[in-house]
Amino acid sequence: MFLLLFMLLSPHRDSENVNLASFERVWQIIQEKHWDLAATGVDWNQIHTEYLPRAQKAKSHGEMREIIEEMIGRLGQTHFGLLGGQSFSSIDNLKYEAKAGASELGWEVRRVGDGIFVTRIDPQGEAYEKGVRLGSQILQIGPVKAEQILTAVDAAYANSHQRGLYTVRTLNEFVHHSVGSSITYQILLPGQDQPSSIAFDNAKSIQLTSYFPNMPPMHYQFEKKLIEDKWAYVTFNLFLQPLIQDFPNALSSMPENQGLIIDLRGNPGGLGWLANGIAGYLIAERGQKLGTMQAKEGTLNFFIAPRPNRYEKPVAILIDEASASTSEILAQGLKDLKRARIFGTNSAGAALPSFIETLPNGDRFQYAFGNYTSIGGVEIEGKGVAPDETTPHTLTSMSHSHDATLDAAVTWLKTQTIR
Amino acid sequence: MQYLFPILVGFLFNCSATQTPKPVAPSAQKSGPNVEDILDRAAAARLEGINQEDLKTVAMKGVIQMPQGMTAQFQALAKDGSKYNLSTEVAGMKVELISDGKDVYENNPMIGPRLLQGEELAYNLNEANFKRDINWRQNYTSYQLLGEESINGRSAYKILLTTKEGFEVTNFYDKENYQVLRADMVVKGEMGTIPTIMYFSNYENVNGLVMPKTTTTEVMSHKMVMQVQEVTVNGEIPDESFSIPAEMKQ
Repeated sequence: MFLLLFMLLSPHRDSENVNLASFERVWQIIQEKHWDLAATGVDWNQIHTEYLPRAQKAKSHGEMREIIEEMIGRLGQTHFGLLGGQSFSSIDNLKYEAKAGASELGWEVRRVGDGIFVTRIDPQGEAYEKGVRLGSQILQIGPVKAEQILTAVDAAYANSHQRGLYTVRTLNEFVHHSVGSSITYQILLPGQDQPSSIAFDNAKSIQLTSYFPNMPPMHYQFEKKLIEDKWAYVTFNLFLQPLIQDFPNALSSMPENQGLIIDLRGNPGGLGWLANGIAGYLIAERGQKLGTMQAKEGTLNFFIAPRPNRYEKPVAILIDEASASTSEILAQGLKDLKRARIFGTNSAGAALPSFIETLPNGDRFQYAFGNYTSIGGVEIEGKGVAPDETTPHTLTSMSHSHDATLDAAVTWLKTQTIR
Repeated sequence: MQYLFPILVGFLFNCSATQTPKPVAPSAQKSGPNVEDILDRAAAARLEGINQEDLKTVAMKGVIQMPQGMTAQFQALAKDGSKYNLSTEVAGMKVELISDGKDVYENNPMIGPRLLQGEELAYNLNEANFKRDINWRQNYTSYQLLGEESINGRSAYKILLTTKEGFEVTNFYDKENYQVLRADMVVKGEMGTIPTIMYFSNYENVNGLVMPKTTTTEVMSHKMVMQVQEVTVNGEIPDESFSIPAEMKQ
């Protein structure tokens, strides 16, 4: 009997133990790693005292997760959070109905006004092949209406100071589907009065590559093209190792270009040093830097090592609310150094360097260990990079199948003279 | 964590010490053990069966356990004349740091190649001298016994050493065997100002050179553990191994 009781109780007790241990570990990491807790105005010891009784009473993984997230939220800073721990059940349910997954149809979407619009389309992708164009409005995904998605997203991120970033990420999760699934969209194509029913069958998997041993495999994309036979355009979805070759190769493959557009919209960052690496192709003077990271134990400069094969023509950088971290470090630094003009919308404001640690209960805790200030003295965190020219997508630009930000960058490049 | 690689140089080569003439007056002395005597004994403890004049090259290979579960492979070559070549490979990227005795070149594929300058160059050239603690009187212009501390349960002398360029390192010498148990320093360069603490352990005699096989480095709140797996003392290392690309010199 006692043995039976023990067997029944043990898992529960173990679960409580690992959950409480996870609470303690999160608190401890922030206590040890935060670069300047005093500046947050939060008494972190008092926070522990306040939350510990609740943590000790938590009966489930989910309950503990909510307590930890609430405690982290008291810091009011990004890059502290539990990954995979948000229980946004309504979003999850809608995703299930929309068969959201990891396939690739070759498009990106954003919220424009009260709708979901296609803001990037890959001419080689399946969506383009089916007739979808830039500016197409997604009205329904399978049984899920766009309004339902937007309502759920608004509710989930209403209190987040990075709701722009999370909204973009979530919306784009809806337009990728489970491998092998079939789904029918209702889409209003630009210039059309009536929606079109477009079916995607047998969704194909995207190529995932493992770049780091402690991170899940990632999908890396790099695209280059020459716009109007003059303007070199490059975009990449992550700052990862292949970029080391892809960026210079793209520049050398378009020698006739008269200016460069680096499209960082939707780019969440990646390897921080690659911001310096890209800047090394654009900055000629030794001794420059993009900014400085300040950690508890020292400072790190995002210094620039000018490359032998420098690019000296005008540079435009495109950003939006989903440009984060390394993207912001690069954009703000080059803006401060007056080496690039920034177009688009305010970036995510999520620049802090961070690590990810697996907690005793299996959740992953992402934590920052430094602050970041650009060379011009701008603290990006929570504020984002302000573009030189604010050029959001509008209902008008969408209806004309135009990319307002890209158009503005090209217009500006045409006014520039080559140095 | 790639910014950490250059910091590794310090402990890859700073693994020895012995006496040479040309005494220099210590900047300050406290009562207790003679600081010069400690440094001499520490130097002697690093060489068993080989004279420092006969120590020409050291080559090492090993692994570094890094934060985020990453593992780096490294190879380090050092030769008389402040020549060294450190290459570290992690996550498919190879970072090189090469000194030809006059210039120091770093090629981090993410950041790009560069010749070190100013204080960073001087610091790395100093680090490249793998006998600098053997010839401590030549390389440190002041040395001060700060006291005694316990390092991982071992009583140690705490000595602040300052090079002629003004770089400071605080070494902790085991009171019994005079092995360096810990070194504290601030690494300065274009990348910033980075306080660094290194713990040395698992000393072994490799062809006369007594060196730590394990070095644990604490930097920017994170820990790296370097395990030396292969060591060759006085093997042939061609000078080409320390060549800096000609275009970088121009």
